[in-house]
Amino acid sequence: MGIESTKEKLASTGQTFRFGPETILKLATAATLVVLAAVVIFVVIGAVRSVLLVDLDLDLILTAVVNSLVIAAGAVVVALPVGLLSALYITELAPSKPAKMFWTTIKVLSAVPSVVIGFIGLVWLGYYESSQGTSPLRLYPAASLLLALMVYPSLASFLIEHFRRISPSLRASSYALGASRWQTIVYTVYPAARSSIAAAGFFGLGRTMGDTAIVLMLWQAAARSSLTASQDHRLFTVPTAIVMGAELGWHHSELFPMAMLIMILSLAISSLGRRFMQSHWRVQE
Amino acid sequence: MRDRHSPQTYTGGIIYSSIILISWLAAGILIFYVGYLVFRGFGPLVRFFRDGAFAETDNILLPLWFRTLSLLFGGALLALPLAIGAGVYLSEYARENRLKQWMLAAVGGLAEMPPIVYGLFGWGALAPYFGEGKQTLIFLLTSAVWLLPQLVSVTYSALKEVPVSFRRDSLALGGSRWQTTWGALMPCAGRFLAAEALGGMARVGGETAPVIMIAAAWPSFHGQSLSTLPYHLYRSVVESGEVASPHHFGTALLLVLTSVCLQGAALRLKRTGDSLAGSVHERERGRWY
Repeated sequence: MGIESTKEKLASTGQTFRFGPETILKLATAATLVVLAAVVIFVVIGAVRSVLLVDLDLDLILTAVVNSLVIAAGAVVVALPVGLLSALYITELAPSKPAKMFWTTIKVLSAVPSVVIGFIGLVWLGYYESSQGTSPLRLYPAASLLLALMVYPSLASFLIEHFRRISPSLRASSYALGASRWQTIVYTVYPAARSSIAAAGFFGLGRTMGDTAIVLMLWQAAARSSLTASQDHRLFTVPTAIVMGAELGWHHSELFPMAMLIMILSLAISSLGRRFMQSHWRVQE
Repeated sequence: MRDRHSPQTYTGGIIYSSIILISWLAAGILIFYVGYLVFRGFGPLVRFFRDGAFAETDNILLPLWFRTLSLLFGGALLALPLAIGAGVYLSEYARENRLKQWMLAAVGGLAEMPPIVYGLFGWGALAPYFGEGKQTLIFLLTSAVWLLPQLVSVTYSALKEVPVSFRRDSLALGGSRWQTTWGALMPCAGRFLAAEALGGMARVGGETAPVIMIAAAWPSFHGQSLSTLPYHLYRSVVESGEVASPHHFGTALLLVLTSVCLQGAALRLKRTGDSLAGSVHERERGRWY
Protein backbone atom coordinates (compact mmCIF):
# COMPACT_ATOMS: atom_id res chain seq x y z
CA MET A 1 0.00 0.00 0.00
CA GLY A 2 1.15 3.48 -0.83
CA ILE A 3 0.06 4.87 2.48
CA GLU A 4 2.04 2.29 4.37
CA SER A 5 5.23 3.05 2.51
CA THR A 6 4.73 6.80 2.99
CA LYS A 7 4.38 6.23 6.68
CA GLU A 8 7.50 4.10 6.71
CA LYS A 9 9.38 6.88 4.94
CA LEU A 10 8.13 9.44 7.41
CA ALA A 11 9.18 7.20 10.23
CA SER A 12 12.66 6.77 8.80
CA THR A 13 13.18 10.51 8.39
CA GLY A 14 12.70 10.91 12.10
CA GLN A 15 9.17 12.28 12.10
CA THR A 16 7.91 9.53 14.34
CA PHE A 17 5.16 11.18 16.36
CA ARG A 18 2.53 13.57 15.16
CA PHE A 19 -0.57 14.36 17.13
CA GLY A 20 -3.56 13.69 14.92
CA PRO A 21 -6.72 11.68 14.58
CA GLU A 22 -4.75 8.47 14.76
CA THR A 23 -3.46 9.32 18.22
CA ILE A 24 -6.96 9.93 19.50
CA LEU A 25 -8.23 6.73 17.95
CA LYS A 26 -5.33 4.82 19.46
CA LEU A 27 -6.14 6.28 22.86
CA ALA A 28 -9.79 5.29 22.49
CA THR A 29 -8.78 1.76 21.56
CA ALA A 30 -6.42 1.56 24.49
CA ALA A 31 -9.10 2.84 26.86
CA THR A 32 -11.59 0.31 25.54
CA LEU A 33 -9.15 -2.53 25.94
CA VAL A 34 -8.26 -1.39 29.46
CA VAL A 35 -11.92 -1.32 30.49
CA LEU A 36 -12.56 -4.76 29.03
CA ALA A 37 -9.40 -6.14 30.56
CA ALA A 38 -10.52 -4.76 33.91
CA VAL A 39 -13.71 -6.81 33.73
CA VAL A 40 -11.86 -9.98 32.82
CA ILE A 41 -9.08 -9.49 35.35
CA PHE A 42 -11.58 -8.69 38.10
CA VAL A 43 -13.43 -11.95 37.52
CA VAL A 44 -10.25 -14.01 37.13
CA ILE A 45 -8.64 -12.62 40.27
CA GLY A 46 -11.82 -13.18 42.26
CA ALA A 47 -12.00 -16.75 41.01
CA VAL A 48 -8.37 -17.52 41.76
CA ARG A 49 -8.65 -16.00 45.22
CA SER A 50 -11.69 -18.02 46.16
CA VAL A 51 -10.26 -21.21 44.69
CA LEU A 52 -7.11 -20.76 46.77
CA LEU A 53 -8.63 -19.48 50.00
CA VAL A 54 -12.02 -21.14 50.39
CA ASP A 55 -13.07 -24.74 50.08
CA LEU A 56 -15.74 -24.44 47.47
CA ASP A 57 -19.09 -26.12 47.20
CA LEU A 58 -18.03 -28.04 44.12
CA ASP A 59 -21.34 -29.84 44.02
CA LEU A 60 -23.24 -26.60 43.52
CA ILE A 61 -20.83 -25.37 40.84
CA LEU A 62 -20.92 -28.62 38.94
CA THR A 63 -24.71 -28.87 39.13
CA ALA A 64 -25.06 -25.31 37.92
CA VAL A 65 -22.75 -25.83 34.95
CA VAL A 66 -24.36 -29.11 33.93
CA ASN A 67 -27.82 -27.60 34.33
CA SER A 68 -26.91 -24.60 32.20
CA LEU A 69 -25.61 -26.81 29.44
CA VAL A 70 -28.53 -29.25 29.58
CA ILE A 71 -31.22 -26.58 29.60
CA ALA A 72 -29.49 -24.58 26.86
CA ALA A 73 -28.99 -27.70 24.75
CA GLY A 74 -32.67 -28.56 25.17
CA ALA A 75 -33.63 -25.09 24.01
CA VAL A 76 -31.34 -25.29 20.98
CA VAL A 77 -32.59 -28.77 20.08
CA VAL A 78 -36.09 -27.32 19.89
CA ALA A 79 -35.27 -23.95 18.36
CA LEU A 80 -32.62 -24.84 15.79
CA PRO A 81 -34.69 -27.14 13.53
CA VAL A 82 -37.62 -24.77 13.62
CA GLY A 83 -35.35 -21.81 12.92
CA LEU A 84 -33.72 -23.72 10.08
CA LEU A 85 -37.07 -24.52 8.50
CA SER A 86 -38.18 -20.89 8.83
CA ALA A 87 -34.97 -19.67 7.23
CA LEU A 88 -35.40 -22.14 4.37
CA TYR A 89 -38.99 -21.01 3.98
CA ILE A 90 -38.04 -17.36 3.78
CA THR A 91 -35.03 -17.63 1.50
CA GLU A 92 -36.09 -20.50 -0.73
CA LEU A 93 -39.82 -21.01 -0.80
CA ALA A 94 -41.84 -17.98 0.16
CA PRO A 95 -43.22 -15.43 -2.24
CA SER A 96 -41.65 -12.06 -1.57
CA LYS A 97 -44.53 -10.45 0.32
CA PRO A 98 -45.12 -13.17 2.94
CA ALA A 99 -41.35 -13.51 3.24
CA LYS A 100 -41.03 -9.85 4.09
CA MET A 101 -43.88 -10.08 6.60
CA PHE A 102 -42.41 -13.14 8.22
CA TRP A 103 -38.96 -11.62 8.36
CA THR A 104 -40.20 -8.38 9.92
CA THR A 105 -42.15 -10.29 12.55
CA ILE A 106 -39.19 -12.44 13.49
CA LYS A 107 -36.73 -9.59 13.48
CA VAL A 108 -38.89 -7.27 15.56
CA LEU A 109 -39.88 -9.93 18.07
CA SER A 110 -36.29 -11.00 18.56
CA ALA A 111 -36.01 -7.91 20.75
CA VAL A 112 -38.65 -9.05 23.25
CA PRO A 113 -36.86 -9.16 26.61
CA SER A 114 -36.52 -12.49 28.35
CA VAL A 115 -38.25 -11.18 31.49
CA VAL A 116 -41.42 -10.84 29.50
CA ILE A 117 -41.14 -14.38 28.19
CA GLY A 118 -40.48 -15.63 31.71
CA PHE A 119 -43.53 -13.75 32.90
CA ILE A 120 -45.76 -15.19 30.15
CA GLY A 121 -44.36 -18.62 30.95
CA LEU A 122 -45.25 -18.21 34.60
CA VAL A 123 -48.75 -17.07 33.73
CA TRP A 124 -49.38 -20.05 31.49
CA LEU A 125 -47.64 -22.46 33.81
CA GLY A 126 -49.66 -21.05 36.70
CA TYR A 127 -52.89 -22.18 35.15
CA TYR A 128 -51.39 -25.59 34.66
CA GLU A 129 -49.72 -25.92 38.03
CA SER A 130 -52.51 -24.69 40.26
CA SER A 131 -54.03 -28.13 40.73
CA GLN A 132 -50.77 -30.01 41.22
CA GLY A 133 -47.75 -29.28 43.35
CA THR A 134 -44.62 -27.89 41.77
CA SER A 135 -41.56 -30.00 41.45
CA PRO A 136 -38.35 -28.34 40.31
CA LEU A 137 -37.61 -31.21 37.99
CA ARG A 138 -40.74 -30.51 36.02
CA LEU A 139 -39.35 -27.05 35.40
CA TYR A 140 -36.51 -28.32 33.22
CA PRO A 141 -38.63 -28.82 30.11
CA ALA A 142 -40.53 -25.62 30.85
CA ALA A 143 -37.27 -23.67 31.09
CA SER A 144 -35.98 -25.23 27.88
CA LEU A 145 -39.17 -24.47 25.99
CA LEU A 146 -39.30 -20.86 27.17
CA LEU A 147 -35.65 -20.36 26.28
CA ALA A 148 -36.36 -21.86 22.88
CA LEU A 149 -39.20 -19.37 22.46
CA MET A 150 -36.79 -16.62 23.41
CA VAL A 151 -33.97 -17.66 21.10
CA TYR A 152 -35.96 -18.82 18.08
CA PRO A 153 -36.39 -15.40 16.41
CA SER A 154 -32.74 -14.43 16.71
CA LEU A 155 -31.64 -17.89 15.60
CA ALA A 156 -33.89 -17.74 12.56
CA SER A 157 -32.73 -14.27 11.58
CA PHE A 158 -29.09 -15.33 12.05
CA LEU A 159 -29.69 -18.23 9.64
CA ILE A 160 -31.53 -16.01 7.16
CA GLU A 161 -28.64 -13.55 7.06
CA HIS A 162 -26.29 -16.40 6.25
CA PHE A 163 -28.54 -18.12 3.73
CA ARG A 164 -28.84 -14.88 1.83
CA ARG A 165 -25.09 -14.76 1.45
CA ILE A 166 -25.07 -18.02 -0.51
CA SER A 167 -24.40 -17.10 -4.06
CA PRO A 168 -27.47 -17.01 -6.34
CA SER A 169 -25.46 -18.58 -9.12
CA LEU A 170 -25.43 -21.87 -7.22
CA ARG A 171 -29.20 -21.94 -7.13
CA ALA A 172 -29.41 -20.79 -10.73
CA SER A 173 -27.14 -23.60 -11.84
CA SER A 174 -29.16 -26.12 -9.90
CA TYR A 175 -32.44 -24.96 -11.45
CA ALA A 176 -30.81 -24.83 -14.87
CA LEU A 177 -29.94 -28.50 -14.54
CA GLY A 178 -33.63 -29.19 -14.05
CA ALA A 179 -33.59 -29.82 -10.31
CA SER A 180 -36.78 -29.27 -8.38
CA ARG A 181 -36.91 -26.76 -5.59
CA TRP A 182 -36.63 -29.48 -2.99
CA GLN A 183 -33.62 -31.00 -4.72
CA THR A 184 -32.01 -27.59 -4.88
CA ILE A 185 -32.50 -27.17 -1.16
CA VAL A 186 -31.11 -30.60 -0.29
CA TYR A 187 -28.24 -30.90 -2.76
CA THR A 188 -27.18 -27.28 -3.25
CA VAL A 189 -28.32 -24.95 -0.50
CA TYR A 190 -27.83 -27.31 2.42
CA PRO A 191 -24.20 -28.25 1.66
CA ALA A 192 -23.34 -24.58 1.20
CA ALA A 193 -25.11 -23.64 4.44
CA ARG A 194 -23.95 -26.50 6.65
CA SER A 195 -21.27 -24.53 8.41
CA SER A 196 -23.56 -21.62 9.17
CA ILE A 197 -26.14 -24.02 10.61
CA ALA A 198 -23.51 -25.34 13.01
CA ALA A 199 -22.51 -21.77 13.84
CA ALA A 200 -26.15 -20.94 14.51
CA GLY A 201 -26.34 -23.84 16.94
CA PHE A 202 -23.39 -22.49 18.89
CA PHE A 203 -24.81 -18.97 18.76
CA GLY A 204 -28.08 -20.21 20.24
CA LEU A 205 -26.26 -22.23 22.87
CA GLY A 206 -24.32 -19.16 24.01
CA ARG A 207 -27.42 -16.98 24.07
CA THR A 208 -29.56 -19.41 26.05
CA MET A 209 -26.81 -20.41 28.43
CA GLY A 210 -26.23 -16.83 29.47
CA ASP A 211 -29.84 -15.91 30.01
CA THR A 212 -30.82 -15.13 33.57
CA ALA A 213 -34.40 -14.01 33.86
CA ILE A 214 -36.39 -16.98 32.61
CA VAL A 215 -34.85 -19.69 34.77
CA LEU A 216 -34.64 -17.33 37.73
CA MET A 217 -38.34 -16.53 37.59
CA LEU A 218 -39.28 -20.19 37.22
CA TRP A 219 -37.08 -21.10 40.16
CA GLN A 220 -38.49 -18.35 42.34
CA ALA A 221 -42.03 -19.46 41.53
CA ALA A 222 -41.19 -23.05 42.41
CA ALA A 223 -39.46 -21.95 45.60
CA ARG A 224 -42.48 -19.94 46.66
CA SER A 225 -44.92 -22.73 46.04
CA SER A 226 -43.08 -25.29 48.16
CA LEU A 227 -40.57 -25.01 50.95
CA THR A 228 -38.50 -28.00 49.91
CA ALA A 229 -37.99 -26.50 46.50
CA SER A 230 -36.37 -23.43 48.01
CA GLN A 231 -33.52 -25.54 49.31
CA ASP A 232 -33.30 -27.41 46.06
CA HIS A 233 -30.40 -26.46 43.84
CA ARG A 234 -31.39 -28.71 41.03
CA LEU A 235 -32.71 -25.99 38.79
CA PHE A 236 -29.82 -23.59 39.36
CA THR A 237 -28.10 -22.57 36.17
CA VAL A 238 -24.89 -20.60 36.43
CA PRO A 239 -26.43 -17.10 36.02
CA THR A 240 -29.25 -18.01 38.40
CA ALA A 241 -26.85 -19.29 40.99
CA ILE A 242 -24.78 -16.12 40.70
CA VAL A 243 -27.84 -13.92 41.20
CA MET A 244 -29.13 -15.97 44.12
CA GLY A 245 -25.68 -16.03 45.68
CA ALA A 246 -25.43 -12.27 45.46
CA GLU A 247 -29.01 -11.62 46.62
CA LEU A 248 -29.12 -13.97 49.55
CA GLY A 249 -25.44 -13.92 50.38
CA TRP A 250 -25.27 -17.71 50.54
CA HIS A 251 -22.50 -18.50 48.18
CA HIS A 252 -20.27 -15.49 47.98
CA SER A 253 -17.17 -17.54 47.41
CA GLU A 254 -18.69 -19.55 44.58
CA LEU A 255 -19.72 -16.51 42.54
CA PHE A 256 -16.41 -15.76 40.93
CA PRO A 257 -15.44 -19.31 39.94
CA MET A 258 -18.88 -19.73 38.40
CA ALA A 259 -18.63 -16.43 36.55
CA MET A 260 -15.21 -17.44 35.26
CA LEU A 261 -16.54 -20.81 34.16
CA ILE A 262 -19.37 -19.21 32.23
CA MET A 263 -16.93 -16.75 30.66
CA ILE A 264 -14.73 -19.61 29.51
CA LEU A 265 -17.71 -21.60 28.26
CA SER A 266 -19.12 -18.67 26.35
CA LEU A 267 -15.71 -17.84 24.84
CA ALA A 268 -15.26 -21.48 23.83
CA ILE A 269 -18.71 -21.65 22.30
CA SER A 270 -18.40 -18.41 20.36
CA SER A 271 -14.95 -19.31 19.06
CA LEU A 272 -16.18 -22.75 18.03
CA GLY A 273 -18.99 -21.07 16.14
CA ARG A 274 -16.55 -18.73 14.46
CA ARG A 275 -14.28 -21.64 13.59
CA PHE A 276 -17.17 -23.33 11.84
CA MET A 277 -17.90 -20.20 9.88
CA GLN A 278 -14.33 -19.92 8.69
CA SER A 279 -13.48 -23.51 8.03
CA HIS A 280 -16.03 -24.21 5.39
CA TRP A 281 -15.48 -23.11 1.83
CA ARG A 282 -17.30 -19.87 1.26
CA VAL A 283 -19.30 -19.50 -1.87
CA GLN A 284 -18.19 -16.40 -3.70
CA GLU A 285 -19.69 -14.86 -6.76
CA MET B 1 -40.97 -45.30 -11.33
CA ARG B 2 -40.00 -41.83 -10.38
CA ASP B 3 -36.42 -40.91 -10.78
CA ARG B 4 -34.74 -39.36 -7.75
CA HIS B 5 -33.72 -36.36 -9.78
CA SER B 6 -36.93 -35.77 -11.61
CA PRO B 7 -38.20 -32.21 -11.36
CA GLN B 8 -41.18 -32.97 -9.14
CA THR B 9 -41.01 -35.45 -6.35
CA TYR B 10 -43.76 -36.52 -4.02
CA THR B 11 -41.52 -36.36 -0.93
CA GLY B 12 -40.33 -32.93 -1.91
CA GLY B 13 -43.91 -31.69 -2.10
CA ILE B 14 -44.80 -33.11 1.29
CA ILE B 15 -41.65 -31.84 2.91
CA TYR B 16 -41.88 -28.37 1.63
CA SER B 17 -45.48 -27.93 2.56
CA SER B 18 -44.53 -29.08 6.04
CA ILE B 19 -41.71 -26.53 6.06
CA ILE B 20 -44.26 -23.82 5.35
CA LEU B 21 -46.59 -25.18 8.00
CA ILE B 22 -43.96 -25.40 10.73
CA SER B 23 -42.55 -21.96 9.96
CA TRP B 24 -45.92 -20.29 10.18
CA LEU B 25 -46.73 -22.29 13.29
CA ALA B 26 -43.60 -20.98 15.00
CA ALA B 27 -44.32 -17.43 13.93
CA GLY B 28 -47.89 -17.97 15.05
CA ILE B 29 -46.74 -18.83 18.56
CA LEU B 30 -44.73 -15.61 18.68
CA ILE B 31 -47.64 -13.57 17.40
CA PHE B 32 -49.97 -15.38 19.78
CA TYR B 33 -48.07 -14.53 22.92
CA VAL B 34 -47.59 -10.94 21.93
CA GLY B 35 -51.26 -10.75 21.06
CA TYR B 36 -52.13 -12.24 24.43
CA LEU B 37 -49.95 -9.65 26.12
CA VAL B 38 -51.66 -6.84 24.22
CA PHE B 39 -55.08 -8.32 24.99
CA ARG B 40 -54.43 -8.50 28.73
CA GLY B 41 -52.15 -5.51 29.10
CA PHE B 42 -53.60 -2.82 26.88
CA GLY B 43 -56.43 -1.84 29.22
CA PRO B 44 -54.25 -1.56 32.34
CA LEU B 45 -51.60 0.36 30.42
CA VAL B 46 -54.09 2.91 29.12
CA ARG B 47 -55.56 3.23 32.61
CA PHE B 48 -52.12 3.81 34.13
CA PHE B 49 -51.35 6.57 31.72
CA ARG B 50 -54.78 8.16 31.93
CA ASP B 51 -55.52 8.07 35.65
CA GLY B 52 -52.41 7.94 37.62
CA ALA B 53 -49.65 9.61 35.72
CA PHE B 54 -49.40 12.41 38.25
CA ALA B 55 -51.19 10.87 41.17
CA GLU B 56 -49.49 10.04 44.45
CA THR B 57 -50.48 6.40 44.22
CA ASP B 58 -48.27 3.41 43.76
CA ASN B 59 -48.46 3.99 40.05
CA ILE B 60 -44.84 4.35 39.10
CA LEU B 61 -44.91 3.14 35.55
CA LEU B 62 -44.29 6.46 33.86
CA PRO B 63 -41.23 7.50 35.89
CA LEU B 64 -39.94 3.96 35.59
CA TRP B 65 -40.23 4.14 31.85
CA PHE B 66 -38.43 7.47 31.66
CA ARG B 67 -35.70 6.19 33.93
CA THR B 68 -35.25 3.06 31.83
CA LEU B 69 -34.95 5.04 28.64
CA SER B 70 -32.66 7.72 30.05
CA LEU B 71 -30.35 5.16 31.66
CA LEU B 72 -30.22 3.23 28.40
CA PHE B 73 -29.43 6.25 26.25
CA GLY B 74 -27.03 7.59 28.88
CA GLY B 75 -25.08 4.34 28.86
CA ALA B 76 -24.99 4.32 25.07
CA LEU B 77 -23.79 7.93 24.99
CA LEU B 78 -21.04 7.08 27.45
CA ALA B 79 -19.92 4.08 25.43
CA LEU B 80 -20.33 5.41 21.89
CA PRO B 81 -17.31 7.76 21.56
CA LEU B 82 -14.89 5.16 22.87
CA ALA B 83 -16.50 2.38 20.87
CA ILE B 84 -16.55 4.26 17.59
CA GLY B 85 -12.95 5.34 18.10
CA ALA B 86 -11.83 1.80 18.79
CA GLY B 87 -13.87 0.34 15.94
CA VAL B 88 -12.52 2.87 13.45
CA TYR B 89 -8.98 2.27 14.65
CA LEU B 90 -9.28 -1.50 14.39
CA SER B 91 -10.90 -1.36 10.98
CA GLU B 92 -8.99 1.44 9.26
CA TYR B 93 -5.73 2.17 11.04
CA ALA B 94 -4.41 -0.95 12.74
CA ARG B 95 -1.92 -3.00 10.76
CA GLU B 96 -2.78 -6.55 9.88
CA ASN B 97 -0.88 -8.45 12.51
CA ARG B 98 -1.30 -10.87 15.35
CA LEU B 99 -2.09 -8.10 17.83
CA LYS B 100 -5.04 -6.92 15.76
CA GLN B 101 -6.36 -10.47 15.50
CA TRP B 102 -6.12 -10.80 19.27
CA MET B 103 -7.89 -7.51 19.88
CA LEU B 104 -10.68 -8.44 17.50
CA ALA B 105 -11.07 -11.85 19.11
CA ALA B 106 -11.17 -10.31 22.59
CA VAL B 107 -13.75 -7.72 21.64
CA GLY B 108 -15.88 -10.27 19.79
CA GLY B 109 -15.74 -12.73 22.66
CA LEU B 110 -16.63 -10.10 25.23
CA ALA B 111 -19.51 -8.85 23.10
CA GLU B 112 -21.12 -12.26 23.34
CA MET B 113 -20.45 -12.65 27.05
CA PRO B 114 -23.55 -13.29 29.18
CA PRO B 115 -24.82 -10.10 30.87
CA ILE B 116 -24.44 -11.69 34.28
CA VAL B 117 -20.67 -11.28 34.01
CA TYR B 118 -21.09 -7.51 33.62
CA GLY B 119 -23.60 -7.58 36.44
CA LEU B 120 -21.03 -9.28 38.62
CA PHE B 121 -18.53 -6.58 37.67
CA GLY B 122 -21.00 -3.88 38.69
CA TRP B 123 -21.85 -5.69 41.91
CA GLY B 124 -18.34 -6.60 42.95
CA ALA B 125 -16.17 -3.81 41.59
CA LEU B 126 -18.20 -0.67 40.92
CA ALA B 127 -20.71 -0.87 43.78
CA PRO B 128 -18.17 -1.12 46.62
CA TYR B 129 -16.00 1.54 44.97
CA PHE B 130 -18.68 4.20 44.55
CA GLY B 131 -20.68 3.26 47.60
CA GLU B 132 -24.33 3.68 48.41
CA GLY B 133 -26.23 6.58 46.95
CA LYS B 134 -24.52 6.38 43.58
CA GLN B 135 -26.65 3.57 42.21
CA THR B 136 -27.59 5.43 39.07
CA LEU B 137 -23.97 6.13 38.24
CA ILE B 138 -23.04 2.52 38.89
CA PHE B 139 -25.78 1.27 36.65
CA LEU B 140 -24.84 3.74 33.91
CA LEU B 141 -21.22 2.61 34.05
CA THR B 142 -22.18 -1.06 34.06
CA SER B 143 -24.38 -0.76 31.01
CA ALA B 144 -21.75 1.37 29.29
CA VAL B 145 -19.13 -1.32 29.93
CA TRP B 146 -21.51 -3.94 28.64
CA LEU B 147 -22.38 -1.94 25.51
CA LEU B 148 -18.75 -1.13 24.78
CA PRO B 149 -17.57 -4.39 23.13
CA GLN B 150 -20.88 -4.76 21.29
CA LEU B 151 -20.61 -1.27 19.83
CA VAL B 152 -16.95 -1.78 18.91
CA SER B 153 -17.71 -4.89 16.93
CA VAL B 154 -20.74 -3.23 15.37
CA THR B 155 -18.59 -0.29 14.22
CA TYR B 156 -15.96 -2.65 12.92
CA SER B 157 -18.40 -4.73 10.89
CA ALA B 158 -20.21 -1.63 9.62
CA LEU B 159 -16.95 -0.25 8.25
CA LYS B 160 -16.02 -3.61 6.77
CA GLU B 161 -19.30 -3.64 4.83
CA VAL B 162 -18.18 -0.57 2.87
CA PRO B 163 -16.61 -1.60 -0.45
CA VAL B 164 -12.84 -1.22 -0.79
CA SER B 165 -13.31 1.04 -3.81
CA PHE B 166 -14.56 3.83 -1.54
CA ARG B 167 -11.24 3.83 0.27
CA ARG B 168 -9.22 3.52 -2.91
CA ASP B 169 -11.01 6.37 -4.64
CA SER B 170 -10.74 8.69 -1.69
CA LEU B 171 -7.04 7.97 -1.28
CA ALA B 172 -6.51 8.45 -5.00
CA LEU B 173 -8.07 11.91 -4.75
CA GLY B 174 -5.42 12.76 -2.19
CA GLY B 175 -7.52 12.37 0.92
CA SER B 176 -5.75 11.52 4.11
CA ARG B 177 -6.67 8.44 6.02
CA TRP B 178 -8.83 10.43 8.42
CA GLN B 179 -10.53 12.29 5.54
CA THR B 180 -11.21 8.93 3.93
CA THR B 181 -12.72 7.53 7.09
CA TRP B 182 -14.74 10.57 8.01
CA GLY B 183 -15.72 11.81 4.58
CA ALA B 184 -16.08 8.65 2.53
CA LEU B 185 -16.69 5.69 4.82
CA MET B 186 -18.75 7.13 7.67
CA PRO B 187 -21.58 8.54 5.53
CA CYS B 188 -21.90 5.08 4.01
CA ALA B 189 -21.49 3.05 7.16
CA GLY B 190 -23.30 5.40 9.51
CA ARG B 191 -26.78 4.13 8.76
CA PHE B 192 -25.81 0.52 9.36
CA LEU B 193 -23.88 1.54 12.46
CA ALA B 194 -26.82 3.46 13.92
CA ALA B 195 -29.18 0.61 13.13
CA GLU B 196 -27.00 -2.01 14.77
CA ALA B 197 -26.41 0.22 17.78
CA LEU B 198 -30.16 0.68 18.24
CA GLY B 199 -30.63 -3.08 17.98
CA GLY B 200 -27.99 -3.62 20.64
CA MET B 201 -29.69 -1.07 22.84
CA ALA B 202 -33.01 -2.85 22.44
CA ARG B 203 -31.34 -5.96 23.77
CA VAL B 204 -29.54 -4.22 26.61
CA GLY B 205 -32.60 -2.25 27.67
CA GLY B 206 -34.61 -5.39 28.30
CA GLU B 207 -31.96 -7.25 30.21
CA THR B 208 -32.52 -7.82 33.91
CA ALA B 209 -29.31 -9.41 35.15
CA PRO B 210 -27.11 -6.30 35.66
CA VAL B 211 -29.83 -4.44 37.57
CA ILE B 212 -30.58 -7.44 39.76
CA MET B 213 -26.90 -7.79 40.58
CA ILE B 214 -26.39 -4.11 41.37
CA ALA B 215 -29.52 -4.01 43.50
CA ALA B 216 -28.24 -7.10 45.32
CA ALA B 217 -25.29 -5.09 46.61
CA TRP B 218 -27.66 -3.40 49.07
CA PRO B 219 -30.14 -6.07 50.18
CA SER B 220 -32.33 -3.77 52.29
CA PHE B 221 -32.75 -1.30 49.54
CA HIS B 222 -34.39 -3.43 46.87
CA GLY B 223 -33.19 -1.29 44.04
CA GLN B 224 -35.69 1.46 44.67
CA SER B 225 -33.93 4.37 43.09
CA LEU B 226 -32.62 2.37 40.18
CA SER B 227 -35.38 0.04 39.37
CA THR B 228 -35.92 -0.05 35.62
CA LEU B 229 -38.86 -1.55 33.81
CA PRO B 230 -37.47 -5.10 33.43
CA TYR B 231 -36.25 -5.14 37.00
CA HIS B 232 -39.58 -3.81 38.24
CA LEU B 233 -41.42 -6.54 36.32
CA TYR B 234 -39.13 -9.23 37.69
CA ARG B 235 -39.32 -7.97 41.26
CA SER B 236 -43.07 -7.51 41.37
CA VAL B 237 -43.81 -10.84 39.68
CA VAL B 238 -41.52 -12.68 42.06
CA GLU B 239 -42.72 -10.93 45.19
CA SER B 240 -46.43 -10.74 44.64
CA GLY B 241 -48.59 -13.76 45.27
CA GLU B 242 -50.63 -13.24 42.14
CA VAL B 243 -48.67 -13.58 38.93
CA ALA B 244 -51.35 -12.64 36.44
CA SER B 245 -52.26 -9.21 37.79
CA PRO B 246 -53.16 -6.35 35.43
CA HIS B 247 -50.24 -4.30 36.69
CA HIS B 248 -47.79 -6.95 35.51
CA PHE B 249 -49.44 -7.22 32.13
CA GLY B 250 -49.30 -3.45 31.73
CA THR B 251 -45.62 -3.34 32.66
CA ALA B 252 -44.77 -6.23 30.35
CA LEU B 253 -46.64 -4.65 27.47
CA LEU B 254 -44.86 -1.32 27.97
CA LEU B 255 -41.52 -3.14 28.03
CA VAL B 256 -42.32 -5.07 24.86
CA LEU B 257 -43.49 -1.91 23.11
CA THR B 258 -40.30 -0.09 24.04
CA SER B 259 -38.00 -2.86 22.79
CA VAL B 260 -40.05 -3.43 19.67
CA CYS B 261 -39.99 0.29 18.84
CA LEU B 262 -36.22 0.44 19.22
CA GLN B 263 -35.80 -2.66 17.08
CA GLY B 264 -38.30 -1.42 14.51
CA ALA B 265 -36.40 1.85 14.23
CA ALA B 266 -33.23 -0.17 13.70
CA LEU B 267 -34.90 -2.15 10.94
CA ARG B 268 -36.18 0.97 9.23
CA LEU B 269 -32.69 2.40 9.31
CA LYS B 270 -31.12 -0.71 7.85
CA ARG B 271 -33.70 -1.39 5.16
CA THR B 272 -32.42 -4.80 4.24
CA GLY B 273 -35.89 -6.21 3.82
CA ASP B 274 -35.88 -5.40 0.14
CA SER B 275 -33.96 -8.36 -1.21
CA LEU B 276 -34.89 -11.07 1.20
CA ALA B 277 -34.84 -14.03 -1.08
CA GLY B 278 -31.28 -15.20 -1.13
CA SER B 279 -32.03 -16.61 -4.45
CA VAL B 280 -32.18 -16.32 -8.15
CA HIS B 281 -33.98 -13.12 -8.95
CA GLU B 282 -36.30 -14.56 -11.45
CA ARG B 283 -39.97 -14.06 -11.03
CA GLU B 284 -41.99 -17.10 -11.83
CA ARG B 285 -45.47 -17.89 -10.58
CA GLY B 286 -45.19 -14.93 -8.23
CA ARG B 287 -42.31 -16.43 -6.30
CA TRP B 288 -38.73 -15.46 -5.91
CA TYR B 289 -36.57 -18.45 -6.31
